[in-house]
Amino acid sequence: MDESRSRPKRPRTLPDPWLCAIFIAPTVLILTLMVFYPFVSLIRYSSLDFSMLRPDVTPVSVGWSNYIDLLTDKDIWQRFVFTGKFVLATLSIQFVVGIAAAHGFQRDFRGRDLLFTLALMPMMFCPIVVGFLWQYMFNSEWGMVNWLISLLGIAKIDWLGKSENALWAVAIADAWTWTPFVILLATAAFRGIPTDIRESAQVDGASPAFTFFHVTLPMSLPIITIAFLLRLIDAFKQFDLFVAMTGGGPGSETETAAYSLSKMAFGYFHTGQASAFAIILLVLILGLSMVFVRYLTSLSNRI
Amino acid sequence: MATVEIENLKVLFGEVTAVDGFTMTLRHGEFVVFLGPSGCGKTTTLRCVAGLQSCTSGEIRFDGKPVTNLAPAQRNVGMVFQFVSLYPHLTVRQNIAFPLRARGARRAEIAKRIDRVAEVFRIGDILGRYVVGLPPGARQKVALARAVVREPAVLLLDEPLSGVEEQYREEMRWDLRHFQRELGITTVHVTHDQREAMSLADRVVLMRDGKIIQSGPPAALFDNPTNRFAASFIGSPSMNFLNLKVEANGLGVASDQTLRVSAPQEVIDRCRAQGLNEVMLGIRPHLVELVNGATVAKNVWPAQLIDAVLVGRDLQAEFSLDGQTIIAELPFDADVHGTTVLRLPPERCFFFGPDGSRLG
Repeated sequence: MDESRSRPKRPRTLPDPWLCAIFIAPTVLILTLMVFYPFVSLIRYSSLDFSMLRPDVTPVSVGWSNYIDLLTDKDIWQRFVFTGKFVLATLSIQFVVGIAAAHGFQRDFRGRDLLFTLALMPMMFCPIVVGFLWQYMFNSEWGMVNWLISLLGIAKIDWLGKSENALWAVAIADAWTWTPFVILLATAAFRGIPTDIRESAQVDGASPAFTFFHVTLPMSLPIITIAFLLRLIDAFKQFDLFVAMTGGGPGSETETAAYSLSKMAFGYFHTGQASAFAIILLVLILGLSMVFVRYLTSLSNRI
Repeated sequence: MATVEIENLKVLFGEVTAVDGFTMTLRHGEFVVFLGPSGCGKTTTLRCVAGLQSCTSGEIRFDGKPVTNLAPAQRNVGMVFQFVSLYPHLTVRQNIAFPLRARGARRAEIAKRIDRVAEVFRIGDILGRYVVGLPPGARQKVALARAVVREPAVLLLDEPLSGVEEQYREEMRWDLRHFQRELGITTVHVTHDQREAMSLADRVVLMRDGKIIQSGPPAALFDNPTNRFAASFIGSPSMNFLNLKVEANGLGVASDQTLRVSAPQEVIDRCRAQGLNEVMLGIRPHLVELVNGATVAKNVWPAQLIDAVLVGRDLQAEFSLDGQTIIAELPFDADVHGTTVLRLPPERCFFFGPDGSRLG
């Protein structure tokens, strides 16, 4: 007892800078190995004519020509256009359906909690499983979707064989998986609006629709924007569903940019060109994200 | 402007009766304050008038027309909530315009009305600002402006000043009074602060347990409380209450019956008629007099000083009368020390039965 009391209050330790260094070291090490080194090599490879399959061949520096080749390639532009269409389609479905459903869940009805839990389920499936599931659903001969529309007296649709149809088929599958995420975040946003504000709108004579579009939705924008940003980035790099549902076909018409990239890198092993492609994608996503982050900052300064 | 009639209003929350047979009529342009402790049903009654709360039974009429089953939007009421409920994503101008836009008013009409309320509430300089960052007083003015911009039949205020800091509250009280006079809108204001109620109201409605205890002009509630609850709830510092014993030859202080009490004959008669042994005397602190050197007589008693505090220009002194406490509000230079002789002016004393009812 006495002995312990006579000791200095602080046990003798290493100086603070050393301690900090020790604690940070593992993270720095992992980041260096997993992020920093690959990123630097990516930039380096993007300026080389290099293939991973032939490590013995000394890579030749080609300057910007990988970028120039890619950006002047009509097929690559087609991939970006297709990716853009897909992103637009899937995000539209996710946000319209998700916000509408979240609005519906604001009301108190019997079995709401059960239904809410069920509605969140698709998000928990493994993406490749979702892809195969929907591939069966959209099968033009014996798929569930064509059976359902045949009940309505509509002719069978070749869902996965034509690129315009396949775009929507995959967008629907993607939206099915990720709409729950939008429901979840939109519900959180709606619940965050104080009761006084809702009642105030009622007394002010606002109809439910007016309240929704002029109070609920604008006040939920910060959270909905975050959801949008996350979904945008994810949709942009969508890959699994196309692998499972269309395999990129017919031809390479339903390849997204990310799909083409993976083929270029691990199909043809054009490592140098694929690196340049990856950097173009990165810049694109960073640019888009920055627009939204700016917008988000301006929103949260007010609300 | 409208008259508001509330008839036999009853609200049950499950087993709990929140409002129990509330009946009153508000005149055109009258400023009425619902006052009472929390849980007395004052806010529930207000919410019934707004239409935010449905009542179990009873009827509410504006200008004679029943509105009991109408939604808030159809009632033409303006309301200011306890916690400021301005729309944070809109500017002050857009906030005030909201009730007009919600009803599809024309642009020119909206601009005209906003200019008018901005002038009344002196908020013209902040119309372009967002609500976040405005001082609380300014926010409340904006909330009031939004509530009255549509010229509602009734203005409902649910503890609008409770979120405002003490230093601004006084100023806001004056403002509120002036705005209400200027606009002439029938107003119901809910508060638990009796000082706020007394300074604002044309008529105060004191409530407890969902019932009206007393209703009338502030002075009437102060000078003529209907029972012990009304007497103790209104006035600051609170009224003094002393336990008395009823004896054959009149009333005496319970703890020391040699201290005699002067009471009107009717009070003594009522005590006898009701067979009461104990009654209570009430007197407001500012009416207690210091009469040093006087001889002990009816209502003139020696008391021990416990403590004294100078509050502004008043000396608040706490005395013990054989264990019973009396607070007196005396002039700041009053000579209080040790044993002091106090006088309770008999004509200013109230008498209450053990159940709190007024005897005289």
